[in-house]
Amino acid sequence: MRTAETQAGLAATFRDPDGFVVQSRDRVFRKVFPHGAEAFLRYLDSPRLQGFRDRGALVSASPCGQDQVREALGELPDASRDGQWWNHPRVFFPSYPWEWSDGMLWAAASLTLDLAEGALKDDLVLKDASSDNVLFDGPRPVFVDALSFSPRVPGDPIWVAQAQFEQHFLIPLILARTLGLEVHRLFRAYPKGVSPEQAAALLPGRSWLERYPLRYCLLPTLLARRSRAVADGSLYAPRPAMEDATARAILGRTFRTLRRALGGLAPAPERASHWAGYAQVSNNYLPDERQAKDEFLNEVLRESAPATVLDLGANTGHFACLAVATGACLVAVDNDHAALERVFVQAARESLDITSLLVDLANPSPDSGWRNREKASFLGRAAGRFDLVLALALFHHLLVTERVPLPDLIQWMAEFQARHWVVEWVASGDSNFRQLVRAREALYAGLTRETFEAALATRFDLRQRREIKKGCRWLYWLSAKV
Amino acid sequence: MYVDPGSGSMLFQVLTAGLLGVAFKLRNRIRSLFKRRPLVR
Repeated sequence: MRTAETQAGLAATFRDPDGFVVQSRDRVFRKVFPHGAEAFLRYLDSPRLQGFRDRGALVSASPCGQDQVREALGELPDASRDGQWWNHPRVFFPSYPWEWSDGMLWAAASLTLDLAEGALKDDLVLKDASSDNVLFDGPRPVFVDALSFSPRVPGDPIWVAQAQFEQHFLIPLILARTLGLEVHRLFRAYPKGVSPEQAAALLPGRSWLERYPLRYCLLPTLLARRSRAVADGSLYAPRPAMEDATARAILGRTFRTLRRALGGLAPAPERASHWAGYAQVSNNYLPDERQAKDEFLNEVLRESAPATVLDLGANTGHFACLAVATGACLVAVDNDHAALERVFVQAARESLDITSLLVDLANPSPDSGWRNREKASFLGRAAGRFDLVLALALFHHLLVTERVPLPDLIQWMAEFQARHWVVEWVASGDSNFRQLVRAREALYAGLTRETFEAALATRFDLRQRREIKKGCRWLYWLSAKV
Repeated sequence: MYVDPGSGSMLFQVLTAGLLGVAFKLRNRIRSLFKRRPLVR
């Protein structure tokens, strides 16, 4: 029997009857069962899909032998069953819709629709259009589920994955617009997307007058409630095939309608949030202080030459851009949607290797799915992945707003297992600090730079320290103690 | 296929496909009528 966990305890996917996937640190191994082989070969041979693979928008695959699998994983999962092993390159930092900005979800939706249309031209059907199938490689969405394509049945005018596409992409975008929410918050509550029925329960009455809520949420719910075909299951019975030319024409029209809907739901340009404005106005730094901060970071980048960087609290990405300019690959994390959307848009426009993610570091995404092993937590994915972590103007938020104890903060730092850190210390005299503290100075009297440095010394060696703003802000370059 | 086709959405698709199928057939019939008629100058 296939299980969700291999003999050696590696997590394996289990929902697809045609195959499963196990990951090593750098590669993804997929076993395709004999009954799924035809579909997989059609996937590999399709010229339109090859175009997507060449652009890096669809995952490539190469056959591999059992020995290769055994060497990489330490075991050969599911050895008793027939099947062919393939491997795929791994996207550097997997992420999930509850960490995406609205623009990222929209980009993933657009790619999914492009693939569905492209597949149709080569007589393939995209049978799985969930947002789980898309990961981000820098700012580019990549569709990674190679077993989501199967040969098309002629004469079928229905796109079987349309409901999933609506649930995972269109309906969250509709709700985001109508309710004024960010989609990542919806995905925390509805990890498998939002069904029309769930959306209908959330939408206000005036939505009956709005085109997309009506078409995708309210009408399907109304029809389903009143339909006998739904109630007795006859809706899903195989229908007599129609002429294939007509069926294809109907499918073409379906895709055009969905594309127009997606176009109409494109996220509005972000209005300046508090944080997005912060970087521009930045009245907290004089120009030469900003320059000193840039110089310090550039020096660290030059001397430590990291291949991978994590920027915690990246704001609008100014320092992230400095890091990727040295050739590093970077994950930028922030809590503020508007700021992060700006990072995403800039990275997409300038083809920067920055994967932007929405994470509240005081409450990052947990392990989730079946037995909490299907989707790893943010901290679990980040541990051991980065050479350098940046925490600029971040710690005072964790120490003051979240009241994280200092020893815990140091322990948390150590668990990233990063060789180098660049940390900014904000002293109690700083104007931003005073704003956070809001006249409760007595609580933070013990939080001095000296206590901070003493705590750091338990786990890190101090390589360099510079005072950036007199009496207020210091930058530290730290190396983890071996 | 293990993907949940979704009841409300599927119903909408089936209804639309049905209507469009009829509409396409009608359109082809009307077109073929015009093709047989000689052009009038």
